[in-house]
Amino acid sequence: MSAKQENAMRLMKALSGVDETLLERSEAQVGDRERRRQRRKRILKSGRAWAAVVCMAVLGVAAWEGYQRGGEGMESAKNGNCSGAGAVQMSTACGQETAGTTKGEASEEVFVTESVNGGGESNTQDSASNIKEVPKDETTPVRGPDGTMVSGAVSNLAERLTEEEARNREFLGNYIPRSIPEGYCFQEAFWEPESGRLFVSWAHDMDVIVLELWENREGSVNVDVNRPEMYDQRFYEDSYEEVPAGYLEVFSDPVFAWEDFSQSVVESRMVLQREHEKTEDAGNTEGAENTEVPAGNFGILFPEGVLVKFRGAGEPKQVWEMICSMGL
Amino acid sequence: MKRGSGEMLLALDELTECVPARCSTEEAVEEAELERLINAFLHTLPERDCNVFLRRYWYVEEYGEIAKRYGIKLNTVKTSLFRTRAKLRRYLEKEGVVL
Repeated sequence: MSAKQENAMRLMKALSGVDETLLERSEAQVGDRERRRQRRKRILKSGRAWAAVVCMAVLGVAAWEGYQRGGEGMESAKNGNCSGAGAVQMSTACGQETAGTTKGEASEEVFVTESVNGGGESNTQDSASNIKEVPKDETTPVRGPDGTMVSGAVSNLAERLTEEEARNREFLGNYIPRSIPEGYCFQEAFWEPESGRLFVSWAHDMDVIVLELWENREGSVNVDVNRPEMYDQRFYEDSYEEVPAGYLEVFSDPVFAWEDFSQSVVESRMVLQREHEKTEDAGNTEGAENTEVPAGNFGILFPEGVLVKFRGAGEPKQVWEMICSMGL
Repeated sequence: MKRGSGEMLLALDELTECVPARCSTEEAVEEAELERLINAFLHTLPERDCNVFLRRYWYVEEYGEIAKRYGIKLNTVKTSLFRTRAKLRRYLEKEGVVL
């Protein structure tokens, strides 16, 4: 027996003193647990239905008020000048999830994904945006403001999925997190058969979280977690200028081994993006203040060979909790 | 309660991942202290992770049996165990345990 096995034996012995209550609890069978889970699910589902009803009611009231004011209110909402615009977007996203958008169902959303380091993500909804609207159906690729394919977009062969369908996908579905940062609603999901990629996104106001998942990606890790210069956004005053050329590729798209991953790694990658960096993408160079929510990107290779790439905004603690709820 | 035997060596192998590097403290922790720490650690775990861990390392059950017992997928069991082992290793290191 090797020294490590002897030490493992010590751990095994130490486990002998485990509380009886814990052992008894572990005796519970699937029946009891499953019943509790189903009950929670039912409550959750009815809660979602009510949320959809409330959302639709809010939309109805907003539309009626706009109509009564001779279009003045609606114009304001369209220009995104009132906080209601964000609420409408959220409502629509939540409503889609609740109603269970089906394959091929027309969507008025335009969803743009780009590397955060290359300018962050933007999510536009209907006319409440400066970005040119591009209608999209299940066979239309996700396109940027100028109509060209953008990095991270899904291919035109991708199959649109509901959240439930995405979660039910064999194996990769398990890696769609159970815990999503507060306020985010499911936005859309795709399965890209040619690359074996599952793509899921959530939105909250103008912030988006995008996850891309692949199977059998062993060997994807490209970062040594002990070398912050390879990935830590805080390591450089201005990462766009200072990151050495040799690290640029890794720095913009680092993939960590799950065993090296931690909340502090999330913190190292999630930084406040200056407002002008976001607005410049939309053709608006005004403003240079920090956004309220940190944003960033990173990849994680799970021990089963699943690669998950995260891009988006969120508080690091919540993003870490989200990562921890994957694969469960 | 009876502990499994056929899976013992395999289970021991997996537990070696929890053994922290020998350098964090100078003193070895006594077995009673280790027992107390592990108990405390188990109480910090979510219920399902704790159950899965105990089924594997106390009862030495196979992954498949555990998955069946709790009505979860095999990969979920593996992932849960992997994470709990990693957590335990960090916890023991943080507590200064040298094995």
